[in-house]
Amino acid sequence: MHQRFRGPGLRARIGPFIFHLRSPIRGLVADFSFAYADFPICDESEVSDFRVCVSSALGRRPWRGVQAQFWSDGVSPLGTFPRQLAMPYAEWGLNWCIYSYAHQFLMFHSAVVEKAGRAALLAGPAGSGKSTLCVAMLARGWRLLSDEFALLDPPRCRLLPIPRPVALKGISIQLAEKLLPYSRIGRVFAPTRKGTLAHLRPPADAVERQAEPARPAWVLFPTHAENANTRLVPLRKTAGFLRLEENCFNYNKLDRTGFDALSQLIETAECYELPFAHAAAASELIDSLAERQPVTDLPLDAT
Amino acid sequence: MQPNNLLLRVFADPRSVVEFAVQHWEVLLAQARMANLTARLSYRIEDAGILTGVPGRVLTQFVAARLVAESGRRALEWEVNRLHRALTQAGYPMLLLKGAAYARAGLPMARGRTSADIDIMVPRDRLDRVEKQLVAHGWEPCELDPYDARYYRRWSHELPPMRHRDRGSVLDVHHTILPPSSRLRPDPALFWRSAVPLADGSMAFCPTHMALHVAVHLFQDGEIAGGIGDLVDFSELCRHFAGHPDFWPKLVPAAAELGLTRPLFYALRYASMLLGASVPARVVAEAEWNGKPSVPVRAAMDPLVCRALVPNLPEDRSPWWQAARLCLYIRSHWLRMPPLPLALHLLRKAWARRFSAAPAAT
Repeated sequence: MHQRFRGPGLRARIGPFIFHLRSPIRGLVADFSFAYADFPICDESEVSDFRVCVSSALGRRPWRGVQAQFWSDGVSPLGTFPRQLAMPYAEWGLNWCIYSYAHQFLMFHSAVVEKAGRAALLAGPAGSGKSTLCVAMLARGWRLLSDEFALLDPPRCRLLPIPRPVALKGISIQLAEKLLPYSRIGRVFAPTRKGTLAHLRPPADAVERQAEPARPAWVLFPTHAENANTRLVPLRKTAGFLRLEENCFNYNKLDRTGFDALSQLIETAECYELPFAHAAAASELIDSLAERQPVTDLPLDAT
Repeated sequence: MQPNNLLLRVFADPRSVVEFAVQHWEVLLAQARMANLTARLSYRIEDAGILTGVPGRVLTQFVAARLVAESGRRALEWEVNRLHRALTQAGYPMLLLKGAAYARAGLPMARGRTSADIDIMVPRDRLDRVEKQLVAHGWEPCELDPYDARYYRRWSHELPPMRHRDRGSVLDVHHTILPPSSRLRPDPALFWRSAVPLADGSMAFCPTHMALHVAVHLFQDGEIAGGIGDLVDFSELCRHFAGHPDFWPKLVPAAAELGLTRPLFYALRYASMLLGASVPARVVAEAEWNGKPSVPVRAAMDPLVCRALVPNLPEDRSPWWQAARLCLYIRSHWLRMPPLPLALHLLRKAWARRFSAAPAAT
């Protein structure tokens, strides 16, 4: 695997996409292979969606250490970066590929977890506690659909899994070690512009079921604050629509399709704000939502 | 001389994808993404009636690219609508250029075409008042460093780009199609005289001037490197207007009238060489007679253009490719400015590039 990665390239099926990945950088190959260990490798019978290469680069300031560069189809969106940080940058690069090109989906900045076929979106900008909460949900036996992107397939109103590694920042690294004792966490990178960062290998079960979509049932907007009173604040559908639209990467690009898909999602899902101080308490609240019978179990085709 | 480039090959002959293996598709898609031509490529393949034979994953990428292009088109149409309110309805005549004109004229080539900004032309003597009018309607001159601002005012044929306060759209306001210091100086009055009205009351260049403008933009004003999109524009314009009885007979005379036979010669030459555009033999002969450069220039241009025009994936980039781009970059400025200011300008730009901060990661 390492040799293919460093030589002709490796094709990995990651969620609905096939990435063709290449890199001569040993450290990155090791980190990446660790975090993506369970993902299926495909043969050359299907056309890949993204062709990615992380190569060594000549930086503008050689005295700052060896640099590297992320390439996707001849475009280098991240500039040069220190080679020892290749893994976090590669992950950001893959994010860039998805939100720049995958407009067949309505894409939200959101973590997604699922239980019994029903999915919860944990939507919000960086720093709102998505990943932390995501880890707490995994500890409660929920399935990981995604840590970064909610991919909504417009015609069917289903969320497609893309269970890439969870990007743990700061104290959530310790939290993940505590809550998920059997999990595998990669190297800790420090300092990046987002503080310390480590990647949690997605649970093998989540990767195995990555072709299995889920129905959106809850839309949650977590906000983390030390002194927050942890609770679920119900949101009206209209407010939920507007909040979720703010977290959508390509709402304006999809025109009517985007409006219809978002409306349908909001129609079928309950919306809540979720201020929280401790992820454990917040995850218990979300779990309690799943305990209840669904209030509205409309067939998805109903308008 | 034809470079071995799949994107060019498919634009020239879309049926060639029938024999494509997975690896060919991947190279084609990568080149199309680089050149921002994915959606146009998909229409080219669809028009040839072979979209059904395209692999599923390729089709998905086509769908996604078309969605982006369509949203760009909607935004473009809305900008034109707002420009009408700001200018035409206030009595300032305005010519739509390039993408905006193709879209408003309903040309088939506008399908899937994306443009980063909107280009319009206004009479030079109204430039100041037009700028004030646009500022009053929310367009703001982009912040430039003092050197670039002076460069625009002194050497350019357009105002510094303007950005709309709320919508973020970028507008280029031209008063002619080439810098006043350029070696070629077409008279803008000729463009205005033969401009054609569009359905919504705006105006655009007549077909011959439209094609000439692309040729000039690519081979006189632009850096050529990465200009494959412009060459596709030129070739599609020729294909579309070939049916008009006036287009081919008027093309070279119109170029001669404006003094633009050299860029026209290049555009015709490379459109037929690289994209397989079919140009009537009489027009080729006329263009050669009027605009053919000397033998050494031609001998130099062919390899430079064929190398630099096409999108090259990083692994295919050779020192020759780099050198070709550099030569064409210098050439584009050589055609634009007198030698001494040019030398100072390039030195200053090279200095800025060397020592400016590295682009921030996003």
